[in-house]
Amino acid sequence: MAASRTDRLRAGAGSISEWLTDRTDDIADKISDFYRGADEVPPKPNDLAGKVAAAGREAGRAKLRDAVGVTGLAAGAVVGAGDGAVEMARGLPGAARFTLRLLNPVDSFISPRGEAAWDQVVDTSAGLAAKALDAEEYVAKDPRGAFATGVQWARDKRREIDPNATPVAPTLKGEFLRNLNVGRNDGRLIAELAPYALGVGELEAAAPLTAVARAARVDKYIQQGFSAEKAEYLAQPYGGMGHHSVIPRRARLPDFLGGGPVPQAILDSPFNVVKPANMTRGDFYELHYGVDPYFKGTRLSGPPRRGGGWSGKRLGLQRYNAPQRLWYGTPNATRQAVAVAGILGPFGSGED
Amino acid sequence: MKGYAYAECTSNLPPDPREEDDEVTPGGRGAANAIAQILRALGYRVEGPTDEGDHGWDLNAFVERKRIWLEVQGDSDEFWLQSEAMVGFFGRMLGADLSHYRDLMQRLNQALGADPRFKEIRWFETRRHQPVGDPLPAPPL
Repeated sequence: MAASRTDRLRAGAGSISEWLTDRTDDIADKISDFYRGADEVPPKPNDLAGKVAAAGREAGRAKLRDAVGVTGLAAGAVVGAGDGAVEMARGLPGAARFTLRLLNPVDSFISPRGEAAWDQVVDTSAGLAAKALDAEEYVAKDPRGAFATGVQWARDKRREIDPNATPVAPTLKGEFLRNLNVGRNDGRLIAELAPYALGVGELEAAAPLTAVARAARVDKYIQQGFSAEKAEYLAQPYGGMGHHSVIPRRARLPDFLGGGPVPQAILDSPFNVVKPANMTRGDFYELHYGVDPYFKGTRLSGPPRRGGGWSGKRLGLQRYNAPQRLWYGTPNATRQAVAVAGILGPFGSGED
Repeated sequence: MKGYAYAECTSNLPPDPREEDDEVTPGGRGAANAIAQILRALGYRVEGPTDEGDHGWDLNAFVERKRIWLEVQGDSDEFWLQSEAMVGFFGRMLGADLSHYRDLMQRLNQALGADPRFKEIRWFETRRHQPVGDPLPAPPL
């Protein structure tokens, strides 16, 4: 089962990377076209009013460049995380289980504080960043030493992963592409670091549901009013499509992108789907009901008979409020991509 | 005018055939097929039903280029029907004309009421997509 999920992850991540990569230039051109004229710098005025107006225009251009840059960085991180997930799955068989933990939105809740899969990823990245910054002091003391060579590598690496380490591009398109490449490197680095953040033993920690836990679930569903047969069915691991969180399946592309269905690679990517590993059907339906106001219930397996499906309303379940929906209903991969962007943001700021 | 409608329905359609551990084929296919058939008979262009996993079966009906999304969840003998005028975020904010949606839903409700395959259609007022209050005989749009 883990292998097939890993294959799915690899295929999905690869497809997303390809889809976005193929369209990079198109997207950059569309942004450039949309803000046509923003890259043009008028001649410098001599009078005071003209200078004030020019300063205002330049401030507006800088803000626009920042916004386009952030968009590029975020898109690049998605692509890079996809690349990294592909490499990770290809190179390390044991990473499959860890990947499942990364994609498991409840991992953050069931793991001890600071020990969730993504905590390990983020800690490792932050640790490496801190070491790279300390190294500057050692190089100053011994500029010709072997350590300096390593630091040069780190500097090169930093240019690859830190948007503040290279100059801002003069055009919006250039700035989008510059940040896209940096974001892509960031995403790949984070995803590739993940297995190294944990020991092999830790990779084994994502165990399937134990027999005791499963028996407790069967009892829970019987208490909810289901027959023993249906409770047994509900206590089995969930294997459905999951909850499409960021882009719902009913969505279509905007007209300027053709208006057709959203590509499957994007819809079913780990960044869009909440599908916890090792969660029972019954528990997943409850989670799905909590986070998705469009999910009312579903039928249950077994011989055809009238009624008797799973209904959140019939069970008296409550929908989550908006902050809870955001927390429980956002895929871990997406949530952590945002967190990583927050960590990488201050990396090296004020040094250039 | 509201762009979302929700109903709880029962029908004379048989429950969908299913197998043990069947998570591949969601319930409600028979009901979704029947609704698609009705909408086509009313003259609408209809895409689907498509398999949407836990969400059941989706249909998209079109009035020229305007899309109306319908979804059947549950099973064919007892199911939930929800629909939405897909006018986009800005369309909703700017108060897009939804008369095409109201017309379709009213015609669908009449057709379902006249179709012997469907027993009871209970429409509800909704708040944040959740049914509130007593059942109504027609979609409150």
